[in-house]
Amino acid sequence: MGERGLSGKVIYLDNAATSFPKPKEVWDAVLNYACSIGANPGRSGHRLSVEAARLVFNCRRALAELLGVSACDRIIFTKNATEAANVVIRGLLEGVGGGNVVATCLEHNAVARPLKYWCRREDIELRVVSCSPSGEVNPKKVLEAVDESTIAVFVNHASNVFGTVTPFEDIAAFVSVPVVVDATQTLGSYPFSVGDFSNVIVVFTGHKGLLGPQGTGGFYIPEGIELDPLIRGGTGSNSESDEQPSFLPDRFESGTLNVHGIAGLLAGIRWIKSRGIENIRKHELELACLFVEAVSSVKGVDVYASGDWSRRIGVVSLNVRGRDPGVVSHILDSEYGIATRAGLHCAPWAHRALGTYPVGTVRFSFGPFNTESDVEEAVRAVKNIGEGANGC
Amino acid sequence: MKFYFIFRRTVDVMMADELLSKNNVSYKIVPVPKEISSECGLCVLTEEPWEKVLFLLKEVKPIAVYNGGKGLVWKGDIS
Repeated sequence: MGERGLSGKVIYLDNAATSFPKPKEVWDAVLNYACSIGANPGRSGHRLSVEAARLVFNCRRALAELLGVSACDRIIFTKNATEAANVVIRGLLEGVGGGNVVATCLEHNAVARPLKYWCRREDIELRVVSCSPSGEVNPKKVLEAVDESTIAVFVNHASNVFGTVTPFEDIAAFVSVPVVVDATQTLGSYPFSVGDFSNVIVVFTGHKGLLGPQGTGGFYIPEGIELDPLIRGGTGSNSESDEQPSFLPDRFESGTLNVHGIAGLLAGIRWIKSRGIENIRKHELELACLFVEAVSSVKGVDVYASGDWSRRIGVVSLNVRGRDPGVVSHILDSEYGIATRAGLHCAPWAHRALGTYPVGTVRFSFGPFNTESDVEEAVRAVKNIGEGANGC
Repeated sequence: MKFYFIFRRTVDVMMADELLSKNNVSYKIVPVPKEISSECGLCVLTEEPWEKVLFLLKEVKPIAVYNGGKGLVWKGDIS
């Protein structure tokens, strides 16, 4: 056994990194695929291969319904949101040479880094739109940065650091260029619909709000936007040709898919649907609210969660004055059994915007399986650490 | 009589699977027979009247229907 130190109760408040625990149904589905189906979808004609293809199709269909789009063939599976963002960013920017792209200051490095790379390579101006002191991006400010040379707009739907939601609808409605929405923190735990927008590309992960296994993610691309794939190879279609298929989803899905993960993801989506996204959101927000109310009154603790709760998700960042967030997170784990995430959360732009760069914050992120008792424990721990640090 | 419905993509075969199952058509998903040029590894096999099945599948846009052993009976627009 290589693992150690997993004894004792853990209060998991790191759902923005990956949701845990997952519903039992997710692992039942993974095991069912692994033990009873196991075949490569669409690659062979036998019944197991057909069943695997059905499973992948059902997950595509479920994702399309979740995004509020009808074309499930325009849902592309990748191994995570980062890969999806890379396909989209490269596809939109490679060979463009000049112009500008607009992005919010809340972008995660999954978007920020490939954006920076391709903007430098293609001589594209990167316009980063700042946020309010409470981490809210004003869609009007995004629109003000857009001009006739704008190639695309990148909108982080909800900040993984501050939990603030940027309403992409108020941006997409007023521009004709592609609007790339990073829905990593919202899909499954916040109402979401592409609706009638024909310029909205959505990048998502499967292992956070959708409660699927890690190694799942993807993107949705509307009709009329053409991108080059990141990789080329076998698709189980057009095998007589040595050219990559032009049609979706095959164009972007070379090589065997992570069907184990996709089986679990489908079960995760079904679980969310049975509970209702609004109910999950309400639950997570109530816990976050309870937590913020209690820790805001602790002397020496700075909580970054002001603003409109109707535009927030269950993610709360804080700092204990005079204590390194990494140390606070470690104390929470080692002394209280509370799992959080400290540092920059792969979002240095966001921390710069709120003045928490380079030390970062301690992030508490609530999920569907957290309870009020978890919040009470977390509040008690923060109080103890805060009062200890400030000599109370 | 066996009719093979050929599609461009696996995802189309799966859409056909969903539609035919909903409409209580008797069918099977099978590998595309070797004598039929393959665009994709899977196709729909049915013994029901091909015109009726084609009507149900019009939104999935099959690219061809073959009468097993007797060749092409219908060709779609593949543009």
